[in-house]
Amino acid sequence: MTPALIEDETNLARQARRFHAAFFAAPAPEDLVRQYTAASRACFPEIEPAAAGQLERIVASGWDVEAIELALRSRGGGALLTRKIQILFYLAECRSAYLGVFLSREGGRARAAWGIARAVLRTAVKFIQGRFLVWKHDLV
Amino acid sequence: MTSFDAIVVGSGPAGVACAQALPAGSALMLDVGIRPPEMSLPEGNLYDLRARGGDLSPLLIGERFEGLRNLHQRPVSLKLKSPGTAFVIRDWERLCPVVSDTFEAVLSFARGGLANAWGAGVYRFTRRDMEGWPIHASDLEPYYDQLTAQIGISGTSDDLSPYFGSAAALQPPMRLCAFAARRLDRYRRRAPELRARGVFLGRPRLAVLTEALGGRAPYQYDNLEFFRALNPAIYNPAFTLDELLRRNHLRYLSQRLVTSYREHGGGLEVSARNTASGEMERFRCRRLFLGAGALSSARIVLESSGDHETRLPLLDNPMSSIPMFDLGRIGTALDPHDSSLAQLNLVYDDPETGEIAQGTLYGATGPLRTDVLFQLPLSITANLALARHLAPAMGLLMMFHADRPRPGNYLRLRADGALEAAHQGGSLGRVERRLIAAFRRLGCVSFASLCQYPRIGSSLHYAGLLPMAASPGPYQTDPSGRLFGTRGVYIVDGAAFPTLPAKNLTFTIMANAMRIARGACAGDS
Repeated sequence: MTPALIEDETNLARQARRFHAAFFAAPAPEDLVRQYTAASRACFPEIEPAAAGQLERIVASGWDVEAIELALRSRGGGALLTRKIQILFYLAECRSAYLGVFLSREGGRARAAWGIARAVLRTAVKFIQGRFLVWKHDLV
Repeated sequence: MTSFDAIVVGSGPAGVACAQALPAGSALMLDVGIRPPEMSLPEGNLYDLRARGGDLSPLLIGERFEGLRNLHQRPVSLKLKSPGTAFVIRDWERLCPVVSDTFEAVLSFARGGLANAWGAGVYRFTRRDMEGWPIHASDLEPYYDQLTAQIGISGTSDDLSPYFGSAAALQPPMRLCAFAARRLDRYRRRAPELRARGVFLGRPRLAVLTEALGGRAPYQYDNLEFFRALNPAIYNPAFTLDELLRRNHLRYLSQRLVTSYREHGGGLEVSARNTASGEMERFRCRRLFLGAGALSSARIVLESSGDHETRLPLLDNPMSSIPMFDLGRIGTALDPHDSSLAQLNLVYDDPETGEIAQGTLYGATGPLRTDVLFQLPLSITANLALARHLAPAMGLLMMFHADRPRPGNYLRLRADGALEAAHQGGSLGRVERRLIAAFRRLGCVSFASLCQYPRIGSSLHYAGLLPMAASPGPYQTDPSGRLFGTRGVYIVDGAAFPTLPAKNLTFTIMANAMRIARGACAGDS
């Protein structure tokens, strides 16, 4: 049996910055990066080398994280990637700076309808991109 | 060894209701009694707190990241994973392990029990609910009335009164969220048609104060139910326990896990493990009231008999959850001053089968968005947009179905001390499809494919293990609550219920525990 890996701090910080840039389109605040590192360690003190290796490849590359996550999730794979992204989302959601990202406190039916339509279209595009990336880079 | 007239096991709804009905100064309560963490909660509503600035992760996620437990452990209810509520289920798997491939057990050894994180729904059992029981609904009425006055229940008289019982002495109902208010308004306009289809809608009965009572303030719509226990407005058995201790009504020993009892001579010897020291301790009493929660009480009874073979009947309400969308509300602003408590109740009185199913409609403001984001089918940012725009237009209908003893649904004590549980769940879907159709008349859309069916055990309404019977046999109780073959062991929690109607059983557990305690001591004077 292959021994489990302990992720080092530099890798975890890199994950936080990469995911933040991918989903919030801005550099991650340093205290959020530190929180992510500690939370990742608490949730996943040891991970399988194969899953760690794939995660590192995705983070280090310029590949579209959102597309890959969707493609893997739709196939029942990539659980570690999804959960790591989820950690960042939990921590971000607790911060007032991200309130507008998670909640809509202003009305606007047309804006909402457009937002939902765009979300569906975006998913279709990401799904195709993701399936291609998963196939090309042999991700599981 | 000190001797007591009575020992009560457990500080949940059954234990405290039983204890308060016993004569003052006569009883000792033995309890593990895990307490909530010391947390300083900022004042205000969840969304105001989030908007005010800073990082709320110590409150919502925890310094030790307790709120992330579902990412790497067996998932639990969202209400049981925050730093302020995780104590409710702490250590249960160590103290009373349950092994099962089919049954999703969750136990509590907290002071106040699972009611630290309950939905506060309080429903009287009716004659129909208690068909086949050896006691009558009217036997419980005086205790329901007493509890209503004591703990404070909000609600009103409406179409659900025939199913929920007397509406006397209720406090005014809670304010509705806009989604629920629209449903109730449409229901009132279409009530005859919906009633004919067996669908009845109305306000819930909640052990939540809308007016001050006995030093407890009314509910402030702070929407923090997922993140804190012991909100003074929401009844918690720990409040009654505190009050009983203040009045020296009983003695209380925490950190005691009762393992077994033994009858000898004219009394009982109760064995408990001190959870701090690991030492076994013994207590003497004349009567023992087991209110540790159905599974824990059954474990004590089986352990006391040294029985590793018998399979006790296991009941739990099969559940489903149906998301409902009001397309007319898409794009409206989220009301930050909602509550995540029950908004409406629904009863489906099946015109074909005569079976009753009960549902509770919730708004979508309580949990963190991240809790649900990753269950939606789109890409993550698309899910985020969906959640942002759909939340004000969304409600969640949680349906409970009745349960009765069936072969194959059982609990057994294994030789290694673990409980073995099996339950086949219910065959659900038909009622859900009918309700989706009925909700179209209420301006909501949903689809059968969106329904979720949590694993059996998830409702936490465990019952039926040591059922009341008119002529009891082994592992049954008589109508007075006394366990067959014992002189002074009484079952005061849900274990004594012979069947489980489709409704929250907590209020009836409390009323029945009081009835049993009063009856047991009636001849003493």
